[in-house]
Amino acid sequence: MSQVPQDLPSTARARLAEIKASGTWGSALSTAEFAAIRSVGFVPAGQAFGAAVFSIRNAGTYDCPTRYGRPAVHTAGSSSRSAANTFGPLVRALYQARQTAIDRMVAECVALDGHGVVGVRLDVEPFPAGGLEFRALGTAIKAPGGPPLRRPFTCERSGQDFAKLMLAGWAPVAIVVGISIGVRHVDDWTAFQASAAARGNAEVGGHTELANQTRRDATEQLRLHVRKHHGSGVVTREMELWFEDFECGTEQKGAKDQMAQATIVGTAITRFGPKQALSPPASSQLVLSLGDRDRP
Amino acid sequence: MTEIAEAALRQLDDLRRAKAGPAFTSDLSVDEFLLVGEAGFQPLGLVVGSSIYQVGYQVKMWNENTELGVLSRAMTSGRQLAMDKMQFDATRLGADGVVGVRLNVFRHEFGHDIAEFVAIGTAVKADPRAGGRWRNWRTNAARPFTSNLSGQDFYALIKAGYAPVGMVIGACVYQIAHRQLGDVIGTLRQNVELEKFTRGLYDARELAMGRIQTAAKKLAAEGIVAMELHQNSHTWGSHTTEFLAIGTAIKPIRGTHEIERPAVVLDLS
Repeated sequence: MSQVPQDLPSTARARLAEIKASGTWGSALSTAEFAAIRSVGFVPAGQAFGAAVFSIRNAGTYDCPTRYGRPAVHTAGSSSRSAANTFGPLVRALYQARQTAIDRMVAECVALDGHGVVGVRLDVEPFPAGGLEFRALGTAIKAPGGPPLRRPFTCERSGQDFAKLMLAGWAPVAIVVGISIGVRHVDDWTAFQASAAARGNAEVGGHTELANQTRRDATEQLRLHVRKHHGSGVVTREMELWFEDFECGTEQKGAKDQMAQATIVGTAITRFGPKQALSPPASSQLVLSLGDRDRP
Repeated sequence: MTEIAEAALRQLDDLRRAKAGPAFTSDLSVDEFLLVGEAGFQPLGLVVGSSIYQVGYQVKMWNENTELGVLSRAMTSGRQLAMDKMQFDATRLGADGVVGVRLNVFRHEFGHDIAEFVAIGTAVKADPRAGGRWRNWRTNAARPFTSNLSGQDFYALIKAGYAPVGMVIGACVYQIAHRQLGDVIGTLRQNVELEKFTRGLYDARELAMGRIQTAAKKLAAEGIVAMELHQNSHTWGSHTTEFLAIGTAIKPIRGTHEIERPAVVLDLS
């Protein structure tokens, strides 16, 4: 049996010790989720939680990447030049904050002798007194009798999805994140196109370029993160994108730069068996459901 | 310990030993991911296209039922531009198609008249075993097909012997006339049909559905499935509404379209 790690807060250690002593687990699983994870040989080990409050600020002074010449998009992930580096620390902090919350949750999972955490919810919320709170909450599960894993898996999908993946020969590896920040100088033409003075229908080229490259870079960062965890693929849900503009910092009065930040979260997966080699073969069947039509 | 749990734990214990091919990304749900795989398609990667669009100035008449042409064209071409960029992304990956495409419109803080149109989906490549002897998954213009079908629907479509040709949209932004004082007083305290409103809503929907039909015809499709009709007001107020018809145009890939007889289940969830 593993020891309760010492770096967790004392209240967390007390809760984990109590779960282990009593053998009674708590979980956020619905009944159907519970049945699903049991069907592939896992049982709940207990609720696992991790949090980290980070002060996320733009590091250092900002220097516009395009004082002269044609404006180009600089993304923190893909470019190592000039302005991109300004946002490097910010991107790294965003990764690190999420990873710290996940690592703390995994530490609780280890303390509960779990093999992994399913149904993980990742939240970010501003903390009233300052900073951002990053939270990870899920249910630790274990396969009784299985040897402990070097690093437990994490999965932001539900228990049913976990079971479906397992039956098809795929196992979740880790929650992965792709974050990118792109900046582009708002040149005169882009500023005009985006202003009320432009009266016709038209695509705003500069902003479009920024949005596309930032979204693409976030996808690429996600793929790299998957590789880092030795996963062979990833299933994701949604990509968030938001914009912010700020003073360009050049001699031009009132010149602006546009920033875009894209975030995408998913679960990296790995194949553990040739398809349908496991019994029973989990192949899909066409069914006519007699349930209510609009029920999920 | 079950056989599955054991095999999974063995793999997870030493991931570095696992042979690493190129990692794919997808925005499919687990159900969709598995079903698309079973239909014979491999996900290649998440593809996304985005267009930030300045919507032009539209002259409006207060008391007339009328289509707002500038807005209609903006809503159509913004989406089309986003889909084109997504398709281009997919072509670069060497994809046969893009499944599970979602089209969204976002308002950022750029200004009142600027919208971001986003198309996002999963690029897929067909196995030799997908769809029997059918090989020609790309569109007539040799570009990857697009489809807004969910993984479940896509699976059923391929099984039934059809292939998606492309996503089609028909948009119509319509202004429903305000009622004039005389009308309001004339129908006060009565249960009556508000004919102006009915006619306006009718016309707008018919225009949107007519346009999607034309778009499908241009692709030489047999028909459109999974057509949805959305109604959005965006930021235009209660009398201006966008009617958006969106669906997937399909073509047959073999002569017979019989599927295995579905089993009947009573869903207890």
